[in-house]
Amino acid sequence: MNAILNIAYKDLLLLSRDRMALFFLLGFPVLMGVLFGLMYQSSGRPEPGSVGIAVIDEDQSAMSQALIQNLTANTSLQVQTTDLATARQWIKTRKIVGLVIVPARFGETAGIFWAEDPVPLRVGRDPSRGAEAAMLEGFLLEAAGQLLAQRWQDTTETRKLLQEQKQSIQQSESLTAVNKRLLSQLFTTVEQWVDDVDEVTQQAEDRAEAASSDDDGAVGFQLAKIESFDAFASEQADSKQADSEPTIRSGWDLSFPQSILWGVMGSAAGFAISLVRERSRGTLLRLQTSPVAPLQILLGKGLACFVSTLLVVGMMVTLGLLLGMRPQSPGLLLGSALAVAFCFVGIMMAMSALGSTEEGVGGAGWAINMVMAMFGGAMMPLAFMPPFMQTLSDLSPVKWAILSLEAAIWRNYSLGELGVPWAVLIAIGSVGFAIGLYYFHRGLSR
Amino acid sequence: MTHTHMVSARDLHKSYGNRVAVAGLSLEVPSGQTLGLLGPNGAGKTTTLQMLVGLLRPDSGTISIGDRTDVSSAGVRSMIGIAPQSLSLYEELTAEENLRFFGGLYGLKGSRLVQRVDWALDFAELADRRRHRVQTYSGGMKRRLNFACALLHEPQLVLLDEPTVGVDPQSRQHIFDGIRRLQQAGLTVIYTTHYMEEAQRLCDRVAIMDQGQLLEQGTVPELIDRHGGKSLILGHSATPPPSHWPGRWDGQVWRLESDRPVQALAELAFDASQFTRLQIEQPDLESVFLNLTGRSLRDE
Repeated sequence: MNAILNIAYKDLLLLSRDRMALFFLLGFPVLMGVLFGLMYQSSGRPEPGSVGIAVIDEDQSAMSQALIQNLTANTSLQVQTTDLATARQWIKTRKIVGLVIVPARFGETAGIFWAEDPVPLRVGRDPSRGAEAAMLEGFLLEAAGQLLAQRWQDTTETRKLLQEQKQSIQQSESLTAVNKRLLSQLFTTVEQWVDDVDEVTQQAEDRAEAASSDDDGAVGFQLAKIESFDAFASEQADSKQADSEPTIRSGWDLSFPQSILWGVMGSAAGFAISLVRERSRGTLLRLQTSPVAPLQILLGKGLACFVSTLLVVGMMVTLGLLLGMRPQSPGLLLGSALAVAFCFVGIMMAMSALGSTEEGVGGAGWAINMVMAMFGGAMMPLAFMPPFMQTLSDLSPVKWAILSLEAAIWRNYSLGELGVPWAVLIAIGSVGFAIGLYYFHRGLSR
Repeated sequence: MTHTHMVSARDLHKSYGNRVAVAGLSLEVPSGQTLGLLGPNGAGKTTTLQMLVGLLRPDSGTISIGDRTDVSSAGVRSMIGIAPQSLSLYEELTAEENLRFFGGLYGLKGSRLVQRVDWALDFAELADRRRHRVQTYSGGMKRRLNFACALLHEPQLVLLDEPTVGVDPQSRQHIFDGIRRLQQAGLTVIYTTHYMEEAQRLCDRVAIMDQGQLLEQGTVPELIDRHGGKSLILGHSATPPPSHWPGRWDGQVWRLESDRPVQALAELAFDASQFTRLQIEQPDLESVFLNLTGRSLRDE
């Protein structure tokens, strides 16, 4: 045991003497973690006003104005009306994500679901910003959908449209007499339904006035009414232990598991080269000829890496607490930190024993980290991945590490529920350690 | 327990793929003696040392250290101190920290560790630099510390692998003095070098290696007697020697090979005044190596 502690102490002492290594081992992961934390702060939702778009209104109708108003009301969008040339220039200089052309005669068919040949909105996008452009299309659909409701809320306008449609049917030369009769009956029924809407709306307004409600009394309809709620807050409300199990208190609760993981991976990658460095500087020979077993050498190095990784996690958690992260269970967070550190120390052991040069191990360490991070959801949300990649992500320790940290910070897992992620992490770490020991021992007994 | 031989190796073979590093090497080193392993680079000296300390497993053959054949065991390793050819030091640590770490690996602790670290620093003449980082040391100071690290745990067998490579004359002399102290203390030393002067100067016995094979071993006089050849008399003169003298005259230098050069000169009624300069070159280990391999050690 003394030999293991001796080797671990020496490695930590060496670390403390190498300012550059210290920075890359402790400072850089913290820096990277904070940056990732800031990126993840919004949890995948755009910040207010973060998606800039330009609208070119070639229609200048009431409906096109209504569309622009609907877009402007969306707090995620920053809408500017301009001409096409200017909008293109803004895309070129990355000032905006995309442009929306509202063509002439858009207002004639907007919000009319029976329109035979609706005038399409045209969306121009920055090809390098596909995700944001997709988001823009979603916002545009939402705004166009609101036009439908707005069109039907104006019953006078709707009646006028229905009359025009009925006249158009009667004058049509392509429709048969039977079809003309059926369609006319349909639109007459719709006119009667619009009358009912008027009556119901009036009654609702009267009731709202009588009750002096804050509600503005407007009654329209929506394609689908959507309410958003915090799934964990809802669970908590049902729980008898609601007071002792706070839900997400800060955006950092969501972002710090990823941030901590980046710190842990940086620490493991930094330590992975220490065994190779012993070889290249010749000190491994003196270790190998001493009465210390290969297992003790690896355990000593692993202990140093374990301590430094826990130090990184401790620093990150402290930073998170200062920024507003509030773990639900400090005890489980400690358990998760130990499991995560063990896992990545094991992976480090395998990498360091397999490699033969500092450059090789250092490069491979980060490359493996990147792949694990990509598959594990530390670089992009798993939901963005195709199904087969989501399945593959089960093989990435990063996924289990993030899950176990999230479980302790905000997912409200019990100790029993954390058993699976912890067991997976410990298993991966053990396999890594076994591989490392096998190859290290094999290298000694050439 | 005293053993007749501290090291005994029999018929060692070691190959790396098709390349033979050591072929059928057998040697014995009596306790308390210093054996020089002399040979050019690539002769197999370092491979032999690594097999002796259990770092490499021989393809065949047996090794015993003292009365033990399990050379990889902790017990045997505690008996051995090694100063590798490449410096085995942590440059970011101080001399004292290096020594404390390596001493700890051998189970030294407490006051015993402090005492041995102080001894090693004195031995390396680095006591006044004990808290300076190794990266600030000269090459010679590093070599001395590398040597001292091998002695920290008071081994019975010390293996020195080319300890004077790249060392200034002052540090080289210090290392030589250190080896003599070990010899006086009765330690067994195996010293690999490709400098014949060092082997001749320091070693009780010398084993000459080339291309993985042990060509010959014995004391330096024994080796010279067996393989050194004759002494060479060189007489520099502007005039030729008497015509009845044996040897060769090239117009400037008269040369004569003889087993007993002084006696040969006396028999020729030698008159020193006829030469501007007279030299007698006695055979040395270089001659031995040349005669054994057909190549000069200095050419390697």
